[in-house]
Amino acid sequence: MYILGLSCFYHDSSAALLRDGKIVAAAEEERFTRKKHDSSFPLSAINYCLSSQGITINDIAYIGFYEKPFLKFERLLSQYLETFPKGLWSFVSTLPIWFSQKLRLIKIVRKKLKYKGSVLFVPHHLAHAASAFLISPFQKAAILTIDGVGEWSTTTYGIGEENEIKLLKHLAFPHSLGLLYSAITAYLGFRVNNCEYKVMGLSAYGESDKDKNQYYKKLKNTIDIKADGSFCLDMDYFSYCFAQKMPSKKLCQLLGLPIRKASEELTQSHKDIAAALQTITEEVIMKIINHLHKEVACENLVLAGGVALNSVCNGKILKNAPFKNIWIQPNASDGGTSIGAISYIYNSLLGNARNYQMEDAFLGPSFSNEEIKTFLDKEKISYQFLGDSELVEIGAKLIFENKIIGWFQGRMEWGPRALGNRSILANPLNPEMKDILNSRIKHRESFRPFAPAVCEESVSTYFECDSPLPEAARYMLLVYPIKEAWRSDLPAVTHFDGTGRLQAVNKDRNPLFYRLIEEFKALSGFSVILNTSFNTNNEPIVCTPSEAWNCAKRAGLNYLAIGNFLIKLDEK
Amino acid sequence: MKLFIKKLLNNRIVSFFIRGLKKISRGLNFIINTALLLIVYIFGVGLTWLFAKILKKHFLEMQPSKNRQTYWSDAELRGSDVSDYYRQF
Ligand SMILES: [Fe+2]
Repeated sequence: MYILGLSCFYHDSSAALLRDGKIVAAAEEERFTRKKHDSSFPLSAINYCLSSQGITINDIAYIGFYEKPFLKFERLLSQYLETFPKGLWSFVSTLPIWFSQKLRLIKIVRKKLKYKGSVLFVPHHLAHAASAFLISPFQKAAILTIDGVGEWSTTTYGIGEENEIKLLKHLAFPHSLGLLYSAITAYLGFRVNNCEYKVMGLSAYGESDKDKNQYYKKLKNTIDIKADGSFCLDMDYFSYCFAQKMPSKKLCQLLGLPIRKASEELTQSHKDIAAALQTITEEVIMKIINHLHKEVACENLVLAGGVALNSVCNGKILKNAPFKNIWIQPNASDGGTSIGAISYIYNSLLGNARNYQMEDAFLGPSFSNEEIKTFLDKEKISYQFLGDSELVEIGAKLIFENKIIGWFQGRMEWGPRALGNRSILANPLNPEMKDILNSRIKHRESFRPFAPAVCEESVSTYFECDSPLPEAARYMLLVYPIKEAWRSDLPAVTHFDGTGRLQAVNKDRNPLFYRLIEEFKALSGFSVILNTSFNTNNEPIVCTPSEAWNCAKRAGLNYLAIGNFLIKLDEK
Repeated sequence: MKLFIKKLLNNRIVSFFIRGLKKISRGLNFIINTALLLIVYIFGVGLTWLFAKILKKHFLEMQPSKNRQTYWSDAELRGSDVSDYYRQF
C-alpha cells in the first residue's frame, strides 16, 4: 500500500511517500524549483516520490494533507473580527489566495495529479506529533509540538503509545512561542520563516546573564509565563494578528530601538535582544517539558514543530528535565508534516503496527555514477574517477591542506540540514576557515557558525554531551559545549560561546562520510570535519549534479567530489 | 482551420495583443476582487465586530490574565475514525 503525504501553501512545501509502513521517499519542493522555502503545490516533489518507486498516482491508496484548511480559515476570520478595522489590508491581500488555493486543495489535487482516490486531512499538530513519534525509536513517549501556528494550536502535548497518539492539552493562537521568535526575528531585521536560526546563532554574542541583560526584563513584559510553562502574549506588542509586519510600535518603544533594516549594522543591543529572546524561549520550553514529565509518566520525549529546530535549546533539555531519552525528526518544521500525515494514516487510522524507524535522513533523489558521468562528459568537465578508498583518502588530504570541497554523494537529505550527502566540507582546524567560508564562499553574515561533523564514537571526546548520545545528534539538532581543551584546536567549528552544532556521523548510515572523517583523523589527529550545506546564501541546497557543478563554480570551491568523480576547479 | 488559428496565435502582433488583454484582465480582476472584499470587510466583518462589541464577545484572547493558574486548555480529542479525516474542518 502506498500513501502520499503533502504539505503546502504556507512555507516549505514537501511530499513524502510511504510504502507498507516504511517511508521510502521524501523531499521539499524548493530543491526542485530552486525557490527557497517554496510554498507552492509540490508537484516536482510528488513526481520524484512516485518515480523513485516506479509507480503512478493510480497506485496511491490515500493522500494525506498536513492540516485542516477550513479550521485554519476560521481562525483567520477570528483574527479579522477581533482586530477590526486594523486588518483591512491583510484581509484584502490574503483572502484571494485562500479562495484560489488554500480552500481548494481537493480540486487542485484532482486537477494537477488526476487523482481520484481519497484525500484525508490530518490536523496540523497531530501531523507534527505523528512525524515525531510514529517513526521514533520509542514504543511509548511524551510528545511536545511547538510551532508558529497550525489551525488554532500553537503548542500541544500528549502521549504516544504503540501506534496511537493522544494530544492532551494545547495553547491556542495568538499565543505562540514560534510567532514570538519570528516577531523578534523580524524586529532584528531578518526574514521571518527563514532566518530564525540566524537569531539563535546571534544570541551567543549577547549577554547571557539575565540579570545583566536589560532586554530580558523588557521582553518579559510581553509574555506571562505560568509555572506549568503555559504562556500568554500581550498582543499590544505584536501586530501579526492583523498585519504583515509582526512587531508593533509598542514593542519598538519597549525595546527602545526601531525595527532594524537588513542593511544596518548589528549592534550589541541587537545581540542582547537575541540573547534575551533565546533565554525566554528556553525558560518556557524547560517549564513545559518539566510539566509534561509530571503529566505523562514516561522517560522518552519526542519533539516536533518549527521551534524544535532550536538546537541550542534542544542540547540543554536532558540536562534540565527528568526525561532520559529524546528524539527529534530531522525535518521538525512544517516541511516534515507530510511524513507525519502519512504515518498517522497508516499506523493510527488504519491500525497497522509500526514497522519503520527513521535512522537517517537520506530520502531524496540520488544519481548513479553513470548518470554523473553522462553529465560531466556532456559539459566537457575533466575529472578523475576514483574508488571509494582513494576518494576518501584524497578527499581527506585535500581538506587537511585547507582546500574547500563540495561533497555530493548518495540520496539528498530530508530537512534543512546537509548531513554529508549535499555538503561543503572544510578543515575545522584552520582559524581563518570560518571567515573564508562566510565571506568568500557562502556570502553570508560573519557571525554565523559552522557545524562539526564527528564520528559518532568520538563525540564524547570533544563534546560535553548527553550520555547515551541521542540519535537526534545525527541531524544537527543538538548544540553542546565543546570541551574547553579542544576549543582552540577546532576554531572553525567552535562558536563564540564555545558550543558546536554537532553532527554525529554513524558508520552504518553514512559509511563514506564516516570513512572520510576517519582518514582526516589519520592526518590531523581529529575525527572532526567542518560541514556546511552545499549552497550559497539564500539558495536551496543543491539537488542534482548540474546544480552542484554550477554552485561549486559560483562559490569558488577548490574541488568537487561527486559520486566517485573528483573534479578540480579553478581557484578563486 | 487549426493551423490557421495556430499561425494567428504565433503572430507577434496578435500575441502582443493577447498579452495586453491578459494584463488588463488581471488588473480588472484585482480591482473587482479588492472592491468586493472591501465591501465584505466593512459590512460583513465590521457589522459582526460591532455586534460582538455590544455583546462583549471576544474571538481571540489578546491579554494575559494574572488571575489564571494556567493557559493550557484541553486539546480536541481526535478518534481514529477515518471518516472524520475526510472533512477539512
Ligand atoms: Fe507547524
